[in-house]
Amino acid sequence: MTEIHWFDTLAAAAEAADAQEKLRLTYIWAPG
Amino acid sequence: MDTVTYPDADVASFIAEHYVGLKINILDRHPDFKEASAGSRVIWAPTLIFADRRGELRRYVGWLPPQAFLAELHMARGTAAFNSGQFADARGRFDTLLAQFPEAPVAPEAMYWQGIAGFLAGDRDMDALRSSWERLAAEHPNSRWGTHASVIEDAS
Repeated sequence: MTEIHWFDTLAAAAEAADAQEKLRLTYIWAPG
Repeated sequence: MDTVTYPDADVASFIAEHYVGLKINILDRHPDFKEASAGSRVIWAPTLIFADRRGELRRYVGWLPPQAFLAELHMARGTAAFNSGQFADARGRFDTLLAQFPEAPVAPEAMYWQGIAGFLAGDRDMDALRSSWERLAAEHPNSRWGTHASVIEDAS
């Protein structure tokens, strides 16, 4: 079962996306 | 999203294969919030923003179930290829979206861009444009995309 890994900083997500040649999905959520 | 859509096996595997995820709580004073939201105001959640290394590709607000969300994931990939001038790849990605998710909310928009991608990939292939847009105007006449495409009826 694949689980989505979520980064919590833009710099880390952008670096990973560039390195892996993937798109970036930003998920802005609200609790509750 | 966290209880239904993201746990879906197809959604999770597609994101793992094609995307890097960034998750931000709208209520936090997250240091990256302004930059991550591309300078636009975000006043409701969930907000989903799709981007490539050059910047934002698309965004929308609101929950979607797994199949409709998968179609959005495909749409952003098609848009990325289109915006990079890779029109044949874009056409292929829109084709895949429409074959797998013909009833998705984003399908009319995908069909619109499928026609343009086909036109540009085929060196002004009018048959490709006409095929997609005539189908779009016939199948989704009340969508904005069907309205946009209806001009094909006047094209020579």
